[in-house]
Amino acid sequence: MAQKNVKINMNGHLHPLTILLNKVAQYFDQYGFEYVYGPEVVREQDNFDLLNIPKDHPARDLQDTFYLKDGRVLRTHTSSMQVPTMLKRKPPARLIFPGRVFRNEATDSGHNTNFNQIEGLVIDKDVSLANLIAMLEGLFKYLLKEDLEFRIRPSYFPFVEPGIELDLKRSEGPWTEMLGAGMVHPKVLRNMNLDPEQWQGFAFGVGLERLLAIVTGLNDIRVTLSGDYRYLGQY
Amino acid sequence: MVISAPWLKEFLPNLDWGVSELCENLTSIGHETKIIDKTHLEVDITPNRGDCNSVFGLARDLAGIYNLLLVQPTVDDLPKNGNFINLKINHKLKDQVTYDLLVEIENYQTQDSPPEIVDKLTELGLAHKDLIVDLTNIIAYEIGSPLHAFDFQKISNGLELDLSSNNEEIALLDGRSVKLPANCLIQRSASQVVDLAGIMGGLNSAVTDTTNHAVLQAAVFDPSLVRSSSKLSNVASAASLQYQKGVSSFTADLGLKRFLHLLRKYKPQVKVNCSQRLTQDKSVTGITIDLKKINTLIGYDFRPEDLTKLTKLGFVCQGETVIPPQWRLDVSNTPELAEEMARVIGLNKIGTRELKKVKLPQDCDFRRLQTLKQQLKNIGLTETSGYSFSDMGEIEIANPLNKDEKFIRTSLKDSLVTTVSRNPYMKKVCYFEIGHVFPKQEVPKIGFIMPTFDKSLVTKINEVLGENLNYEFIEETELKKKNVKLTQVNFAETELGPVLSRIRTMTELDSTLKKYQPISKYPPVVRDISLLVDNSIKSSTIVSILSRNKSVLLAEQTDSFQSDKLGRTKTSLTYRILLQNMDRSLTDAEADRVLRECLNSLSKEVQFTLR
Repeated sequence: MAQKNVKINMNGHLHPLTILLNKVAQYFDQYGFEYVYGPEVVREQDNFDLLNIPKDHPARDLQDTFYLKDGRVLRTHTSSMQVPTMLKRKPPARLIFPGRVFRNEATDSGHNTNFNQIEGLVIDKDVSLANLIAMLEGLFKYLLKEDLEFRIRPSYFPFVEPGIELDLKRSEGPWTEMLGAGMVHPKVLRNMNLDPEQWQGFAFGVGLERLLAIVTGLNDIRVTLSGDYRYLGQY
Repeated sequence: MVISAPWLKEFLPNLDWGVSELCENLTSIGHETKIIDKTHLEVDITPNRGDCNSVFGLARDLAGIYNLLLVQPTVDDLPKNGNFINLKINHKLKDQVTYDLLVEIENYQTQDSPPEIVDKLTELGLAHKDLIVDLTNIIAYEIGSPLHAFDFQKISNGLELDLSSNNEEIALLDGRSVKLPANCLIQRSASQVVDLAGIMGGLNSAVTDTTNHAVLQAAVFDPSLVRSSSKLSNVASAASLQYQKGVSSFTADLGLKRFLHLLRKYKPQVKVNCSQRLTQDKSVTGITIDLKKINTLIGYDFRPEDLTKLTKLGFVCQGETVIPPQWRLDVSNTPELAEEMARVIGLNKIGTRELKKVKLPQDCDFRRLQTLKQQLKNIGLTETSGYSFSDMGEIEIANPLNKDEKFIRTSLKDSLVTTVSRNPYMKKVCYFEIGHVFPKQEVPKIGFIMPTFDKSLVTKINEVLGENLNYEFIEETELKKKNVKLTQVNFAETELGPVLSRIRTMTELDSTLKKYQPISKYPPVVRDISLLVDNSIKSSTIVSILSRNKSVLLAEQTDSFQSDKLGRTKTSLTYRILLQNMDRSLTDAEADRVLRECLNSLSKEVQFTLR
């Protein structure tokens, strides 16, 4: 039977997610993005209410949350950075928020309780959905350097309006859902102390492990947190 | 929601798409769909499109976007408002109940539903009971209007819509007896709870096979109220899920009219009366057209005539205003109108507009962080990453996955020990991890673990960090807990912030990612060999030749030894060779054979003596 060659070596190794983030940053550096890190434990309002997901809103069921006994939450998305960051600065802004997020759901080859996201946020006078789509398609073309087909379809997230999802198709492959995005909701802009009549923005969030799977062919994202040298040593 | 294609076609008679095309076309307009079988699809309706959460609703949306012929469901008019039952609504609920209408049904005799109804219910996985109850289920699914039927005799004293007090009880239709906390949405009749409103009715008010005088209720409750009520009472149902996606007054009305039509069709002798209206129906308001804002938001040049494309979806253009149809609760302002226009045009036709390119100075914390990692990699360390959960800590999770993950970690130690335990054959690899830890105050830290202490490496690390780290031995009990057989494992950690501030020169960062090589589920087999070679031979050459063999995962030099006894021109090199197979662990015989192959290949290029 055919054996597949796994080769690892004894040099030093960066975690593949670190290498991926370096590559992603090369793309966003072209457009002058700043990178901001933030807390993984956040107030419920930063993760939900300020993003137009009030208590008892059915949209809260879209994500399964880890609650802390003291009432705070483990952030379910890096979107929790949007409002606190913008409250501390004046627009325009081009921001990337990388970091770890948490979801209380069943793990499988494509899902884990601890994983990483990068959130993008652009606020300006006339930034549009067409700008957002260009930015996203450009990211995948930069990472994959091959013939790609994109499908943009309407979707729903309470903190954007319009909301979209982007699917990717590589030659002969199936459509794969990659990320959610949209134009920052006027309520969220107001929570940032910005006038929606004057300012617009777009936001997107993508799972870094999902990107890693697409770029390297990784078929089980749990391997990235296993500490297995047979994986880490490949890089 | 499971959709049957033939049922959909009752409202779209000219639809000639197969399931694949239907699936694709639904997904493109915002309803993510999966094919179940040749006639069924699983459609995911987003929380903002309750109007599509039914067969007719979905048909209506498809007809509007793809310009298909839509057949309206056949309905009967509602009888004039009357006063056949005493109704009360707690004034606190005024804004959260936007429709509440009851219909009295006299001269009824319970009967089994006709085959066409029973078949549809069977397809939905629902049992058929009695015509009235069956029709409520059909309507909920077909029109998207949850309806509830009562036996009039059991609620003849009237209905009061209210919030529960603590400890009120109800025996539900599904057999459960529930003691309610305060603030669940309920209906009482003569002070008894008869209905968990919007969720499930009570046995004490239900239609049975002796019912000949029934009451049908259509209501619209605020989605958040139903969700909160459902969570508090710990009861959920198809109806409560439907309410949570939003039901419009229009749909409630349509459901009631459709019910009457079907009821009279199968039981023409019934006599129906309508209740009074206690609610102020919230009607959908017009939106002033701000084409400039819409175009700026979308980045597309919509022209006034493009607005007429919305007409097929039920929108009415009146001068400077667009009035959404009464079943659309999700379009009430300019961005929502812009979203609908983009959806009608087709998101893939919006086009792309690149943002202006801008250069920023490269001196920032992110760059320093990646530089730090790069410098540590360059001196031979391996970056690892582990879970943030722990079985001990300061900050406790209220809903952990299991009892071993009740806390968030206060240190990187556990995670680093886990990494060491994961690689029992690698004794010399030193790992580092950067991550957030949670003593009382969350803080990012960097941690190091050395299964084998390496003094020169410690010095190099201190240089990179700009501080001298204190290493400590990890307690043997902690190592044993994770099955680590080594005894002197060194660990150190420090706060990331101060380290980053000392990173001054930026390094070039690795950005090339190799394709993933799947790792075997089976543990590798270990062989240690010692070779006596001439001093001039480079160990890396030997590693490279040994590694060529397909089954060799890794060849690592673990020791090097010289002595007068061996001869001054010779060195003894020890290698640990890890052998693996994707399908199973290699047997001893197979491992020995692989080793012979390796040594054979080696002998062709390097002179050695096996010790």
